[in-house]
Amino acid sequence: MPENPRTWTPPTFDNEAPPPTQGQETKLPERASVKTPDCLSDKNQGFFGMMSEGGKEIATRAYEGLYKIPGVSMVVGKLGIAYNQFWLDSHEKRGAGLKEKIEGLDVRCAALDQSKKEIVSVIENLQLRDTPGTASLQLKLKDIDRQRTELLGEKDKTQSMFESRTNKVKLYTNERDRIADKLIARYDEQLIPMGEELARLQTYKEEVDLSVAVTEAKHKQQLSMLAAMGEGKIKIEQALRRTGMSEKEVRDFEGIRALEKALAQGREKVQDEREHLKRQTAKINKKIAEIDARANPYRDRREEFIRIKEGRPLEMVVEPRIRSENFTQEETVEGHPREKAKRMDDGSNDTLPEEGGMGAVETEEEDTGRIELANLITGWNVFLTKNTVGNVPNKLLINQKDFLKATKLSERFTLDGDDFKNILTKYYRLRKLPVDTFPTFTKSIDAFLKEEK
Amino acid sequence: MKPDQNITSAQNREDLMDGLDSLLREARELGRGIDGTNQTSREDIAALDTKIDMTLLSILRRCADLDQVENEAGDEVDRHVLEQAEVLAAE
Repeated sequence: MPENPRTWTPPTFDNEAPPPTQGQETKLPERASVKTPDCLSDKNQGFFGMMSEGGKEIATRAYEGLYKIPGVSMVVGKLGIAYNQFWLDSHEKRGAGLKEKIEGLDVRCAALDQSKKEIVSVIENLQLRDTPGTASLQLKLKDIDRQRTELLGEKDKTQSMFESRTNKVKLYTNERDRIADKLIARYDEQLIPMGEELARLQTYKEEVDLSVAVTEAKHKQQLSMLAAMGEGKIKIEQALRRTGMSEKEVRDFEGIRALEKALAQGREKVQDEREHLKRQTAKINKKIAEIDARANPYRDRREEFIRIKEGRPLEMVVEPRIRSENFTQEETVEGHPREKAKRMDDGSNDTLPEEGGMGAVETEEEDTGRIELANLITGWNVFLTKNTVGNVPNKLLINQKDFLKATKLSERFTLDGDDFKNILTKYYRLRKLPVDTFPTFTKSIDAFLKEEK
Repeated sequence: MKPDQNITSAQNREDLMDGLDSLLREARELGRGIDGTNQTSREDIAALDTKIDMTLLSILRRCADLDQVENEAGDEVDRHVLEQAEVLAAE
């Protein structure tokens, strides 16, 4: 990148030789080059290396701010720098400066117009009274016109620079927006299916919870059967003692020992499986929580890219310039006979450029309270229909076939009230049924189960 | 003990043995039932775990894609910034 010798002042560093003056050998002095920002890719570092020292200084200063921005992604930080460093610090500031200069020139033009008006009024007064001295005042008017012309010329130049500057700002904004839009589009390509996958994970989790609830209910039933068998064993032992067997003989009796072993094994299997299930579900929950945490920042970042575009250029309005009329008449040259003094017709037809207006989102087991599942489902549906109002009960009515399919239980499976409530809640969640819109769900299910008892 | 009482006692004991055998069979049957429950549960959870792992992999691939998208965008912004820096330096 060529340096502009007129505007570029080489930066100085400690312990360096000064740059060579004109006429001396043009060998470049050895100096420490500006440090390449770490965040640039290899390709861009190459580009940086070829830049002018001034350009490198500006870029390095811009990137210093990048590391001070906490908690935002690198590209969001860079887009922020691109907007803030170059826009606010440079183009918009300079644009604002030019606008102020234009306004200053307008004020001076207005002051000249005022002066001209006053002089014209004085001239008219003097002419009315036939008082001499108007010629010098006419000259003054000419001088004012000359100054005005100069000011308007300067205003033209300044306004052209201003318009060029505001266009640069807009081009810059458009480029930033183009990059942000590209990012947002590519993000949406991945985020939309990612959202569906995260929802699917939630469904899988609910299926796991339902499966665990069903297994717990089965285990509970099996433990209760084991307990009943344990009672049976005790009765047999008592009966054996009554037949004359000693305590030790009963304990060592092969059948009793075999039964004890079978019951103990049954309980151990249930216990082992419960612990296994606990570990498995904890592992699964952890996996899902971790991936959710991993995916969340990308969803947040998309919002940041959209917010980046909210920074828009300042609307700086100056009056639009009017194309002036070209004066094409000739001045009439005439003789001046010495007669009575005549009023000079200056013939000028200056048309001042008009100041345009300003422009410019159960088997039924009486002792244990276990009831057959088919009866519980039917009973619950009847209870819902009788005891609630509005559309809620229709949505919460259970389709028995679907319920049995989801839980893989038989309609004759017996379970107690707590297990039914647990499984029912997990089923509703899996099927995304609006239990949350049914605020008295817990009370209702408790009341229903009390009735069933 | 009288012979009748002996027969009654033996009958009782035989009934008890039958009851014990029946209970033992039930207990073993229940043990097999518990095995069945556990196996079904493990298979169901394992199947869900596989689906979960596949979904996780897909999500991780998308995250990697998005990282790549960001790197490319970052490079583009860098080039833009460097070009603007030169423009400003020339001014």
